[in-house]
Amino acid sequence: MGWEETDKASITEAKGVNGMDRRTSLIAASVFLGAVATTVVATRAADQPQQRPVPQSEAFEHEEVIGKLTRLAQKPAPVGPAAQKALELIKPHLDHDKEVALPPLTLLPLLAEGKVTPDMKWALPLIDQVKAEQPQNTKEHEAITAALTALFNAGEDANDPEASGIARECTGDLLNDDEVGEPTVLLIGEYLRAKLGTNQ
Amino acid sequence: MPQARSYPLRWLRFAVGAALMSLPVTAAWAGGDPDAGKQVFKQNCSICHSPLPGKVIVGPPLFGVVGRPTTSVPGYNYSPANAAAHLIWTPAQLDKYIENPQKIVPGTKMTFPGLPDSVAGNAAKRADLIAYLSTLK
Repeated sequence: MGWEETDKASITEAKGVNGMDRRTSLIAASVFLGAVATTVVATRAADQPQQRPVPQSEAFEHEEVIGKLTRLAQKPAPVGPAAQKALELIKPHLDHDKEVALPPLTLLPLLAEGKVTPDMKWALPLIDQVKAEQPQNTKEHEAITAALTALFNAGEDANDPEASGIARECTGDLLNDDEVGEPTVLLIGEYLRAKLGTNQ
Repeated sequence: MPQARSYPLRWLRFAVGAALMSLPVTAAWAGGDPDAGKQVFKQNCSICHSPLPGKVIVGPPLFGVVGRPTTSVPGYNYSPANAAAHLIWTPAQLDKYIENPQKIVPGTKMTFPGLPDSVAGNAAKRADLIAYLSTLK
């Protein structure tokens, strides 16, 4: 083995070692970054209020409404822009309902069976929030009604009975919130408080 | 003779009432155009209300609404707020209500935001609408 061979071998060995180091460093860095990302995501999730399940029928109905309006929003003027405007008002409203007003309704089947347990208290802050937000909710319903009326008129003008029909259907859904949904949520609160003997 | 004394008073009341009724009508809702009102109805009310008798959509039919008391359509489930209002839908009352429904009947489930005076031209629209509603009989 001449000096050249010895040197080549040393160089190859050295390269191998360096290559290993680089790979190890990359893996370590990836693991570290992964851990940091997981921690950040977990911290953010902890900061968010826990979203509880909602009655599946309500979730399905909301998806249907959003789906129908999204489809109408693809249509040309005047229906498309009117549907888009309605969608922009309805979507955040329904998202908020999913977070606050709808979860307490999941207690209904148990309450109807006469089962009340202290762990149901989780619903009380949400129900109080529904009550506190009634004036704001009315304002939002008014704005949505105005947008749906515009969509209804756009449908009439464009001779698009599907659009007018969906707009009218959505006003019926809003009325259902006022007549059934919200009073039921408030009633659940009254019932829980009476049964659990709590003013919390 | 208390009865004898009440006759002139009764006649006085009648005379004053008759005089007031004969004054030219200058209320904001007066003098509306029913044809223009039909358009206002179409653009603002027809999504929920029918102009036909007995046809309930989301809200009660507005056929015969002028002059009738609140909560008078048989079979329609009115809000407790409306039921407690005990109003007669006179043109003047309708004018106030359509201007701002939540102000006149707080808690009404009609989520129509109204035709407020803060928007130019709304007083005329209300007058036209009431003129149209007056034809539905």
